[in-house]
Parts: sequence; C-alpha cells; structure tokens
Amino acid sequence: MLPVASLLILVPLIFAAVTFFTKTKEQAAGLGFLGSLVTLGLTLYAYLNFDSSTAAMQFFESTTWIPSLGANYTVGIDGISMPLILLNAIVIPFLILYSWKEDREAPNRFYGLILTMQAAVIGVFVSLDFLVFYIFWELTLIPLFFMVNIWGGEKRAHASYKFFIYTHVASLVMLLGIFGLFYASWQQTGVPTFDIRQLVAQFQFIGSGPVRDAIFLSIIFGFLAKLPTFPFHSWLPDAYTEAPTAGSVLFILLKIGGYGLFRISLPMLPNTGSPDLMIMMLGILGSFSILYGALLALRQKDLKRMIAYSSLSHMGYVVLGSAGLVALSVSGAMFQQFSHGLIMSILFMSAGAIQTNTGTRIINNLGGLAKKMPKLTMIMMLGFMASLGLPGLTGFIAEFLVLTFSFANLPGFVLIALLAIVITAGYHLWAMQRAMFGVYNEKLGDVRDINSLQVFSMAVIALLVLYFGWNPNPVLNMMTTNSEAIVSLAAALGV
Amino acid sequence: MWLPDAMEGPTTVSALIHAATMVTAGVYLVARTFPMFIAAPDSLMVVAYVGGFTALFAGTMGIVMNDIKRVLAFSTISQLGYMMLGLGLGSAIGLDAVGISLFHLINHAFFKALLFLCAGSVIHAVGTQDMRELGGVGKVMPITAATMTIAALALAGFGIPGTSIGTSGFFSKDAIIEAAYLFGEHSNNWIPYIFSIAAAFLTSIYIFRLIFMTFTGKPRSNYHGHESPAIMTIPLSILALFALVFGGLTQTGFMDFLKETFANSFVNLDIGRLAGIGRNELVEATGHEPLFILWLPLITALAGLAIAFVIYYLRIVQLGPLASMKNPIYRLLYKRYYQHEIYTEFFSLGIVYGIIAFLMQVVDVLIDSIVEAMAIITVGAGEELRRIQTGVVQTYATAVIAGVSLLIILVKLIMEVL
Repeated sequence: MLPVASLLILVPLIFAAVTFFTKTKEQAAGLGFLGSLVTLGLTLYAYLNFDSSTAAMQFFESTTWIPSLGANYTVGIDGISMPLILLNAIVIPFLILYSWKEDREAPNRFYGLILTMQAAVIGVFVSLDFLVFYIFWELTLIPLFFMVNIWGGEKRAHASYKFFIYTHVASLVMLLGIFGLFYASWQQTGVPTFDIRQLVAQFQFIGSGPVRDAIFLSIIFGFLAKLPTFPFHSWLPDAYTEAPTAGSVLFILLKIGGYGLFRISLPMLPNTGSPDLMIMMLGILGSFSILYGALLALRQKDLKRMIAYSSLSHMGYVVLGSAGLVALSVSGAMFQQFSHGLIMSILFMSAGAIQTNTGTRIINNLGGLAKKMPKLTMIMMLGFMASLGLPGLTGFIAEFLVLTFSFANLPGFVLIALLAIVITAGYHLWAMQRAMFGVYNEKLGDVRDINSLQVFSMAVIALLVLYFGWNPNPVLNMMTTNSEAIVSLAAALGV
Repeated sequence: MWLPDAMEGPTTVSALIHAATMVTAGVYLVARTFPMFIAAPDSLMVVAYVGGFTALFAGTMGIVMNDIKRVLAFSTISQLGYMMLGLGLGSAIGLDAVGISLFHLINHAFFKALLFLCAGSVIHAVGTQDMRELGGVGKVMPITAATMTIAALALAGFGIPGTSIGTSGFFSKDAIIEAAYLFGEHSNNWIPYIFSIAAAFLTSIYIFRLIFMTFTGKPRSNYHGHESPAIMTIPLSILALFALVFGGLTQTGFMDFLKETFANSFVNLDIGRLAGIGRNELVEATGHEPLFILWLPLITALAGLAIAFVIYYLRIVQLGPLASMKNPIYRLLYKRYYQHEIYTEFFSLGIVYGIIAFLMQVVDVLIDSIVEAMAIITVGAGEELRRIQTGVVQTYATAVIAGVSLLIILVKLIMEVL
C-alpha cells in the first residue's frame, strides 16, 4: 500500500517547486494542473481504499523526528480528514482550469502558490503531531498572503496584512495553548510528547479545572478565528473580497479551523473544567454568526462581499453543530464544511467571472446579465440555490442535520438560527434577481459569457453539489463513524 | 398579505396556483395532522379563531377593491379562512371537521378556478382589469358572463336548505357555517358562528358587486370586447358544470370516504372516541338545528345579493362620499388595513433594516476598529520609540551619564534604607 498521507503532501509540494521555475503561462498552468491531477488520483486511491466503518487512523505512518522533544513525524487519515482532503483535491484542478485563460503577471508564482497551498492544507489534515500540525498550519498563511498581496484588488496591501497578522496572532495564542498542554502532560507522565491523540487523551488528567479551561480556550481561539466566527471575523470580508478569484476559493478551501474543532477541541471539551459553559459559548458564537452573517449579507452592495458574509453565516452552522454534541449534529457540521467548500467555490467563481467580464461587482450596477451570460447564470443559480439550502442540494443536508439534531441540546440557539433562514433565502434571491434578471443594464456594453474551460470546471463542481445533495452517504458515512466516536466520549462523561 | 400582490402573474397561473393547489397546502397540512390537533384542543381553538377572523377580514377588503383579480384574491383568502375555521371546529364535531373543510377545499377549487378563468377571459377581451372601466361586458361575452354568474352563485353558497338542490358552495360552505352553529351550542362560544355568517354576507356582496359592475350596465370606457374563442369558453363551461353539481352529487360519498381513510391510516388512534365527539351524537342530543339556522346562510347571501343589486345594478343608491377616500373606514379597507405600511415599511424597512444598519455601522465597525486600533497603537509605539535612536553621539553620552548618576543615587538610597 502506498504511503498516501505523505505523498499527498509531497506531490503538490514538489510540483509547486518545479512550477516556480517555469517560464510561460502555459507551462505554469499545465504543470500546476498536472500536479493537482496526480494529487486527485492519489486522493481517489486513498478514498477507494478507505474503510468508513472504523473511526481508527488509516494510512498511518510514523517516524521519529526529534526524540528529545517527543516530536515525531506522524500522519494518518480518518473520517474527519478524508472528506476535506477529497474536497481540496477535487476543487484545485478545476480552479486551475477556471483561471487558465486569465492573463496575469508571474503565472509561475500564481500556480506554484496554489499548489503550495494545497500541500499545506492537506498537511494540516493529515498530521497527527502538534509540531507538524502547527508548521503546516502556519504554512497556509504564506500562499494566501501573497495571493492577496500580489493579485488582489485595490486595497490588497491592507487586506493581506490584516489577514496575515490577525490570524497569525490567533495562531500564536493557539501555540501557547499547545505548549501548555505539552508541559502539563510532561509533568504528569514524565515523557515529553507532541502526539495529538496522546495529548488530547492526556488532557483529562491535568490538575486543576481552570488550567484545563485556559488550555482549551487558547487552542480553540485559533480555530474560531480561522473559521471564522463572530466576533473574530473582521479580517474575512476584506480578505475574501480583495483576493483574486483563485485566492477567494483557496480561502474557502482553508477548512482547517473547523477541522481543528473536530480533531482537537471537541474531544477535549467534555474534560474541561466547565463543559456546560464551553458548550454555551460555542452555541452563542455559532447561532449568532449565522444570524449576523445573514443580516449583514442582506445589505451588502458588493456581490463578493455579500458572499463573504454569507460564508460567515454558513460557518456558524459548523460551530452550532459541534456544540450540539449529538453524533448527527456533529456529522452535519462536518458535512457543512464539505458542502460549503463546493458551493462557495461556485459562488466565488461566478462573482469573479462577473467582475472580469463586466468590470464591476456592485449589484446595483449589474442587471439582466442572464441575457448575455446564460451559461454562467445557470450554474450560478444552482450555486445560490444550494447556498440558501434548497432540498436536493448539499447545503440543505448539512443545515438540516445541524438544526434538527442540535435542537435536542440547544433549542434556544437553534431558534436564533432559524430566524436567519428566511433572511438567507432573502438575500440570495434578491441579489440574483437584481444582478442576473430583469432589464439588461445597457451601460455594461457588450458582455461575453464565461469561456468553455470555466463552464466545464464550474459545471463539474455544480454536478458534485447535486450528486452529494441526493446521495451524501459516500462522505457522510465516514463522518458519522467518527462523530459517533467523538460524542461517545462526551456521553461517557455525562455531558 | 402576499397573495393579492402575487396576482401580478398571468391569470391562468393564478387560477391554478392561487385557487386550487398551492395556497391550500396549509389547510391540507392541518387536515393531514388532524389527530395531533384534536389531541390538543387549545390549538384547534387557535385554528378556529384564525380561520374565522381571516374569512371576515379578507371579506371586508374584498368589497372595496376595484381590480377584478384582487377581489378574487381576497375572496380566496376569505374562503381559506372558512376551511381553517372548519378544521378548528373539530372539538365539537370531531373528524367531520376534516371532511367539511377538505370538501370545501375541493369545491372551492372548481368555482374559484372558474372565477379566475372568467376574469382572465374578460381581461383578455377588454384589456383592462379595473372594474370601474368595465360594465356591460355581459352583452358581448354571454358565455363568460353566464359561467361567471354560476361561479358567483356557487361561491355565495346558493341552494335550498333541507333538500339536495344547490350549488357546490352550498354543500360545503353552509356545512361549515352549520358546524359553527353546533360548535356554539356545544361550547356556548358563538364567535366562530358570528364570524362565519358575517363573512358569508360580505362574500355575497363582493362577488355580486363584481358581477354587476363587470357584466351589466353601460360600458364605462371605450373598449372593443368580443366573446373569447371556444378553446377558452369550453373549459369555462366544464368548470361551471362542476361548480353547479359536484357538491350535491358527492357530499355523502366524500365524507364516508374520508372517515374510512382516517380509520385505515391511523390504526393506533381511538377512532371510535374521536368520531364519538362527532356531529351525529350532538345532533341527537340537541335535536336538529332550528329551521331558521338552516335558512340563515341563504338569507344572508340573498341580502348581500340584494344590496349589490340595488347599488350596482339599479344604481338607485349612490354611495358617493361613502365610497371615497374621504371616508376613513373606506380608506382603511382600501389600504388593506395598512398592512403594507405595517409589514413592509414599519417591520421590514424600519425594524429589520434598522437592526442591520446598527450591526453594520456600529457593531461591525467597532469590532473592526478594535483590531485596527491595536495595529495603529503598535505602529505608533514603534514610531515614538524610534525617535530615541537619534544617532547623535552627544545625546547618547548625555543619556549614559544621566543613567549612571541615577543608578548611583538609587544605590545610595537603597543602602541608606537597608
């Protein structure tokens, strides 16, 4: 059996390194596409050989790295990480196809950074050692920073620095928490280790409740800021909006915040000093993010900014579902990550196409685009419908699972989230109606439809949204296996 | 609230969606889950009150509208109110409540679709849907006029009590009103009955006002009407036939069928007990309704017809200032109880948009400025501290001497204290 977990990091990284040295646009895009295809192939190999009936680690590898610190290179894949790796591996090749025909300076760096990003994100998903995890976690910042800083919009410098520093500070707080956990466990056992699963298991033996709370809170802070949730979201609208289309999609694929929640925070949660308080906090943050994001999206003038706030609203479901602490609500939260990645890729690609083809993203300056861009309108409509939670598409399944099953433990917060559903439908339909339908705005001149590569890449993602909307089981089953394992831990402790 | 505005759509769509299928989904839902409701009588009371109030409330708005389709839209809401009312009476008449209400739903679909299609036929021929510009259309469109009159009779519920002669609406709507009377006797609560009778009166007024204003009298504008082609009139005739005879032919069969359905699909329910609250026992206990009660719905309908006849056909009574915007009641009705102002302008634009504006301009800005402020303070602190590094040797020397002397003084002081 192939060491898939390591290869999934190495292959995009090597292709990225080579891509940096290419000379022409075609070479760079072609090599990038090839690299992402190989990654997709490896991922499919892993997926087909994956056993979704067990919550244990698969494709496990471990090599000693720094024995004196207890740091090992340990990687593996389970039901939490497999769907997210799949999401990344699927979207990236189509993202490269989508931007194939666009002209930009330094294409070698552009495609190289996309592949670096892929390697870093998959690295976070597979690593089982806190040190390796943290290195990949921070590595994701670099491609995104340059993406926004080099190819971004007018306020790109401000947006890129803000994103970088904001989430970097949050990551440092998380690092403090990791160190706290590391030392506390060292004191307990006398053996230093950075192994994530071991440290998480060791967490319950740490002396006092307040110390456990402090460790838990500082680690989860890094995740919540990355996700993001209200009130740590203020980097998001700027960064998502100023980034080029590919950058926005990479932001969307950056599912590491939610992943950390499932991998590290939820297993720790029942053992904190005051678990009820922590659940309450997550419930408030989750439900409020849902409502807040939806309300602000309703009044945005800029299409891309609207999608950014909509993304904040959707991420609220991840937190709410996690706080629900029922197997299916946690699965719903995991599925929301997967579904959101697909749907938002379509939305940002659509917004990007509108921007490049018409020169504006301001909703009121558009109008009647369906006449000039019928292909885009069809795919975009599907994306919007999926995003507002139309049954038969992925968004519905995720939100339904989260709302239905969180209701058992958190009825009040679910009610707050329900308020947002009406608004969510409202801003999606309203934006669609103003931008794409109605009378064509003649000031826009003659607008071309999206090119065939863009149609192809967006249509494939749209079809996946449709497929997983009808049949979520291929990814939902493995998620449920793992969420049951997480929840049984909480149930054993009576939380 | 939303239904009259949705009437902007094509008339055939209105006929299908707004008359027959979509809007009745709510009624169907309550009917489907009726055993749940009957287990919670308080919720049935809510259903009854909401239904009765809706029937009356929509009726009052129906009598002042000038747009032919809007009259029908309010009429639809009013009739949906009847269906809900019928369901809500379940605490008195048991499972029969589902029967009468679904039966009204089906009959209503026939005559309301017919009304909409007739209205469409008129609009198609004449080119306006404002009844003030119509009049005398009956002369040029006899088939449409005849079928629409039949539909109006069905809607108003004409028929001869005690016999099985009558239009469809008679068998279903009057059954609901009768049930409301039984409910009144059963619980001494006469509100649903009063609502339903008053709404029946209004129904008759607004629908015959529509008929008289559209089809009789002299044309009030220059239009060139013609009868619609056969492809339009034949469906009208078929629907008219249904509106006329469907109710009388199927009433008993339908009720029995529904009872059986419930008995079959809710095996675990104590159907005997549920049906036990039913009408038959009540009727046996209290005797049949007085003859007056049986005739009252017809009398109110005739009264409504008479009023509409006097005002809009004979035109003996001139409404004048009564039906103008100067009359506050008329204005209230014409403005639909200011629902638009309350819902859209006050609630949506005022409260919801206000909250959003607060979140956008205060909360979001505040959160963001805390972050930005931290950045500015950090950069500012660096900027200030940078000035110390002047690069002038004399300044450094002065600072060193000052520092050293300060240290010496401090050491001296500490020594003395110790």
